Amino acid sequence: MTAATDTTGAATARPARRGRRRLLGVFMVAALAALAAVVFSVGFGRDPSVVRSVLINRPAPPLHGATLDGASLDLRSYRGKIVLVNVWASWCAACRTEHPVLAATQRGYADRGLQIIGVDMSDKLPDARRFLTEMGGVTYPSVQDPNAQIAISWGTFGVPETYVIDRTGMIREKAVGAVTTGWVIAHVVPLLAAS
Amino acid sequence: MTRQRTRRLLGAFAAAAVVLLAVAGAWHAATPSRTVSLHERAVAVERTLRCPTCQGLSVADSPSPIAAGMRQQVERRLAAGASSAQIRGYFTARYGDWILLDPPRRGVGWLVWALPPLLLLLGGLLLRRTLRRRPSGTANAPEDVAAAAAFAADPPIAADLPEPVAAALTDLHAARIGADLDPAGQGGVHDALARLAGALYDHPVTAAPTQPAAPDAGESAAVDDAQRLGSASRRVRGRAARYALPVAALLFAGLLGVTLARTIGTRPAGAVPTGHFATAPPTPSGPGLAALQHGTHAHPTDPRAWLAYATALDQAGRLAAAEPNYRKTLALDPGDAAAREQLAWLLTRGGSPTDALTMLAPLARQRPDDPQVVLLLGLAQRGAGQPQATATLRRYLRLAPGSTPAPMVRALLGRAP
Repeated sequence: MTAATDTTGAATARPARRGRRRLLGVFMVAALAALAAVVFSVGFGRDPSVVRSVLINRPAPPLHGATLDGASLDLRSYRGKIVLVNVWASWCAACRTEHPVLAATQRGYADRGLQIIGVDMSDKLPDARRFLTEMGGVTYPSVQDPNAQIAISWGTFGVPETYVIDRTGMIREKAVGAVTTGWVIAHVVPLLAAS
Repeated sequence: MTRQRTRRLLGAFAAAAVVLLAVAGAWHAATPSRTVSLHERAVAVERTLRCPTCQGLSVADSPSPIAAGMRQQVERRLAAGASSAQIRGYFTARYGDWILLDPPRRGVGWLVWALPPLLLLLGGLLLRRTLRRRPSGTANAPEDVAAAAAFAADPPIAADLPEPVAAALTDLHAARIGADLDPAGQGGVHDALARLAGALYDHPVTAAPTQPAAPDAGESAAVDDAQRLGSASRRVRGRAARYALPVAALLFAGLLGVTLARTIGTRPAGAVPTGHFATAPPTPSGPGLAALQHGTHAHPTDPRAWLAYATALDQAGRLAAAEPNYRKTLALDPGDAAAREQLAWLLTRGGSPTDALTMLAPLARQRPDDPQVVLLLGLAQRGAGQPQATATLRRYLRLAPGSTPAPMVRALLGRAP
């Protein structure tokens, strides 16, 4: 008799516990679904090939060396100008697309205190010179960087990349891929106007 | 009982052996047994760094020029006496934590390290619980079997019982009769009792209505209410469990849809610098361009087809490809003002402002006070280094002071935007 009542007691307690556990499971599944949705949507909404540079709003790393013409160049002597540092290579197709934009920017804004400096990364000197001849001549100097050591010290992911350095020598902006006139107007012209 | 204890002891031994082996392996890996060369140390560092240009390759494995440069940098710094951590620090200062293949052991990084073992532990606990819960009809706990025996000794009316319990009860009676006839059938009784215990576990029978010493009416009504309530909430929970997966799937799809629509919707169509590397040419509107190019083949004498193709190329940043198509439009219809304006702007941007001025001359004669023409004229003059550029751009600001390009023009003129 006592055994019988014990059985019924245990029988009612167990399903209740099981129900609670099931409810907890439902909650966990819902929470996981929501988490997965958020993770996926954030991931899909971002361009995985673009990583925001950690150097933005930091002082520009050193940049000095021999230019393609053999002269020596040091970024420090351009303090007081808005400098665009453009990492390029003759073997890069996007660099060919953006070069007219950069050349026009140099020509158009030189009198407003703009200077473009090229970093010719992992390139051969004759190839680089031929590239510039095809592009209509040298508009701004480029430093030789045959082993990509300068590019690495600037945190370059690939070519082309363009850094905007303000008059105090701080990196203010970075473009990954070919720059356009729109980008120049949006990110460079305001800095020129600010002084 | 003794067999069970032996099994448990063996299990503990196996677990201890696995843990010992793992610890020994880790110890062995952490303490190099011999002096390693500079190159080996460099490779060890390179394996922890991510190649910036490629996807999912370490610097040690990548053939890209930047990775080659990074390998040089690592070897040079090691030779100069830098530690692996210092070298990794040099790269993270330039590329951020992104450059490390292992997530950093701090902040959110800890979560990534702690989650796998935690989930493994959780999984193990769940597995243990599941294994401990006996499958119905077999291997029940002794107290459940005892309860089942008590239940069989004093069963409620068969009609009130759930079908599996009633069936198990009938089986038990049959087995008992069989055992009475043949003592060898005692095992059958044991199995039937276990099956009944399992059936009772799955379909609990809450009360025996034919109990002789029934409690007074009020109390039993209260018990009945409680049981009804209990079974109702159980039903609700059961339903919730059944709908959990579809609801979770819907929730997932809905949330993903909404957030994706938002993030993708805010991206301007055909936007440029999106970070395509040299290996991936920047053609954001490839299929659209192909369709427009096809349009020029289908209607080679329609200036609008050529203009549409030229405009799309221009917007995609392919200035050199756009130019001949603008010229083709103008050859078919020299009076096309839009093509003339766009080509002039392209020439100004592309470094041929003098050509742009020639292009704009007829427009300047036809519409001398059109702000758009004045703006293009001013920008081309500025590009060509002509002194009247400032006057032209000022005239533009007077004609259209509130236009979108006005702040940019003010910036060009050196005024506050």
